[in-house]
Amino acid sequence: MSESVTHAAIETVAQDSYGRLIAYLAARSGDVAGAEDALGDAFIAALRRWPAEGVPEKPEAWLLHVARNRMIDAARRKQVQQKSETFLQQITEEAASVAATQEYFPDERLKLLFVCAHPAIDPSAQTPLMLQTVLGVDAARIASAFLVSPAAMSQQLVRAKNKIRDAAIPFRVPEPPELEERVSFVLDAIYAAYTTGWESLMETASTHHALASEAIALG
Amino acid sequence: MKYALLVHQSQEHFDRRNDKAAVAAGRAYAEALQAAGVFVAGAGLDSPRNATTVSIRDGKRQVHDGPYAETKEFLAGFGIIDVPNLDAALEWAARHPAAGFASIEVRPLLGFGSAKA
Repeated sequence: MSESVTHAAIETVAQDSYGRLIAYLAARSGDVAGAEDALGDAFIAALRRWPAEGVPEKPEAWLLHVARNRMIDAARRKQVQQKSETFLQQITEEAASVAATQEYFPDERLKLLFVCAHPAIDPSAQTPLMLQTVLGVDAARIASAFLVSPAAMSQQLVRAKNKIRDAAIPFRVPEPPELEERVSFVLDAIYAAYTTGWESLMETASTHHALASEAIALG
Repeated sequence: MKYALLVHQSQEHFDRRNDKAAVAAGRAYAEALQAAGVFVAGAGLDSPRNATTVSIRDGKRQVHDGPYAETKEFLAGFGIIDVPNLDAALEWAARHPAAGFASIEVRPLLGFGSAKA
């Protein structure tokens, strides 16, 4: 298979599944940054191996498998605590069953949205966090949309992800009566994502269309 | 996960902490924490007027009268609870009898992964 075809395939998977893959990995570990690192490694592995080996039948499952192994390695290096042990066991079983039987792995993006827009997260970080983790918009682009320096934006995102992990903000869809209050935070953040998409339309990038329509779909 | 619930309140409310209703509410809350099996530790604190602050600078012990920072609202009590996640901790914080007039700061304890997680 030619390199450009595989690259196109990888790009398609990245566009279609990035947020779902992040949400799936983060919901089980409680660690958004760890999930991003692991998935980044998985994409690098795909760029290296798919041109030679061909695009796997289930590219998402393949990426998930590699990312899961990276997270296991990372957790081992960090002296496994009880929490991550449970996680490792859980994710190993789930990833195995996803790879073996299911066409699709569970969609946890809604939970990820509720985490990004959790009231315990700095309000100014909520929408950027959502854009980065759920929609896969890169930090530099987010920074320019929010008129802050890339360094400041990165720092804000890192701080938010650390809080998610360290304060153990749970990946869950709240139940009533909490739901009503929490949904308003999510909608505010999605609305901000939506306007970012429109304002940047002049910049020609077609992914912004996708950004707005994905914001609509998730809303 | 273990979290500290830190109760910050004003002098005005602090002065009323021994009111019958306040005592009863505090006791009921402590019992609810215990019944739920999430209670680890907790106590009310004496007035910041009775606080003494210690530090070591250049190898020398320095002792000062008073709290670390003089503020209008001060740390009046704390509880430590063991719950699965932040949402559960926030729920317990909201049930604290002082939540209606004081502020409850919720902070994870360092290095205490829960047995329940």
